[in-house]
Amino acid sequence: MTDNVIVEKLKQKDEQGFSMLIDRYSAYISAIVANLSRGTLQKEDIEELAADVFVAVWNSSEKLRADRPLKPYLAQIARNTTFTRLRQGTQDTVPFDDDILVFSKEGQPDDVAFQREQQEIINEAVNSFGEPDREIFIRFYFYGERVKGIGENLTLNISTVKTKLHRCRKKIQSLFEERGYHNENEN
Amino acid sequence: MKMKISISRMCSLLQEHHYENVEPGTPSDISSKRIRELAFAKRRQQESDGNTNKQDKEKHMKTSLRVLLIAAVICTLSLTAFAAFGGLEFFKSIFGDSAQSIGEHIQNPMTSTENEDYRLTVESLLSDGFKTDLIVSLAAKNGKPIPFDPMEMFHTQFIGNEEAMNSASYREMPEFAQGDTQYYHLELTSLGNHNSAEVKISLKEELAPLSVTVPVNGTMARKEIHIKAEDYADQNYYPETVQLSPMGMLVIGSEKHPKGGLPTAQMFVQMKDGTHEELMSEMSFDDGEETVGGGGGAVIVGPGETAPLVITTMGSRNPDNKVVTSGSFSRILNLDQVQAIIVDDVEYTLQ
Repeated sequence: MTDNVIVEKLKQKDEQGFSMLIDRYSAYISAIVANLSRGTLQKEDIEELAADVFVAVWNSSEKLRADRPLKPYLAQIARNTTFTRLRQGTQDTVPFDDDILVFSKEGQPDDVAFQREQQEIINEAVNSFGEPDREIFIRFYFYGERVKGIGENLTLNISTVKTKLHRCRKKIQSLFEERGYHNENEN
Repeated sequence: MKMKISISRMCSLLQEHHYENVEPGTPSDISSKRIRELAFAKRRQQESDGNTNKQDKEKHMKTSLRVLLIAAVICTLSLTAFAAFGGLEFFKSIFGDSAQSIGEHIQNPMTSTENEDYRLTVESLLSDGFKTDLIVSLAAKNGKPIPFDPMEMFHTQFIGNEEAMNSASYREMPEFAQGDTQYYHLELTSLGNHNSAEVKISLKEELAPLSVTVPVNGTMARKEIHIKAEDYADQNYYPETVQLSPMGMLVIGSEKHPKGGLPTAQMFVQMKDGTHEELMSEMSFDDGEETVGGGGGAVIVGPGETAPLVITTMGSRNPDNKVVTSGSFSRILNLDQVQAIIVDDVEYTLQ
């Protein structure tokens, strides 16, 4: 059964489609939840959150489009569900190395313009990355994979992965600076 | 304005083609069978809850045939109870279990407007007069699509106090999505009191010309401490009063000679169980050389991190040398559990 067929069945509230969705994407969704939670969630919690993701997809299945890929939509739902759970939870703090960039800029915040600017910057940055830098960046920042796991999956040593991630961050910083943001990071 | 930006959060804005062909490493001990069982059980529970509501409605309709007046009262009561439950669930999703303590302050306007394409409803509202959280739903009709980016969908303004709003952010709440209805959290903050104003929520014109207006009547008590002036006689900045609500804090201060970034005092809240949490510090605002009229900052929490109590700050200098600064909380603060506010190492007991 292709993704298109699964989407059509979900839109018709067909349970077979729901079942196929779970079979096909349990591993993918679990990987996102497990990686982004960085060891703060137990196996049972990860499974429960993955189930929540599938139920959320079922509940909003009218929004699905058969002409759009299903996997990116699932990834975004899984990320949002995980972030929401972590924000509510009482799990111990686990630092996400090198995730935060600090900038300053004159004036009051304009949320809409700022969000649009971030969207342009992150896409421009990733467009400019060659391979394997782009995949390393996506694995680390989008999917939450650890440096060690990325190195094993791509047969690169850890220091190479770290160096490439550092270059990616520098590129993002430079794009912010080009737009008038003052870099406040220590590097 | 100083801002902290999480790269991992920015990645939610990535175009799909960047990540759709990358397969993340998979944990080995996850059971697909259990995920399937849980997912189907949750769906069955949802359907069961839905049927119960439907049966309740039918029961009320039958009653209304017998005694119209009594039925009217019953329907009013049951709608209120349902709405109150829904409202708390929304705010538990935002503030976690800490929302339980403010359930009585959640308003459920259930005010709607619609055209042939969409129905816009203000479901719930929670306000302390300076920060207002709204839950709105958008139902698509006739197969109309709902846009993915809420920042591109809504416009909000206070009526009767147009100057009040200093910041607005909107986000989707996918956990509440039902069929063709999507839910959104609209967070509005101001440095002036917007209690008793009305807030107008509009869809962007290009989406649909729909607007709905609801009154903001925050009922949450605020507690206030007055700082001793003599401790700041030789200081440029004097934080005169600190107000605390379950949703945030507000400091009204004055300075002799406005200069540089916004001034702040070091402030902590001390809980009755002995724990402390930071309210403000010299890091809350940019401390540049240039004298600024206002500014703000936000903590964007990365995956796995627990949010600090204050996650956004905002402030402005007024012409009379008054300085107003505020902070919004990541969770509801139970004021009954607050022992004191510590300002520059001096403890002020909260009455």
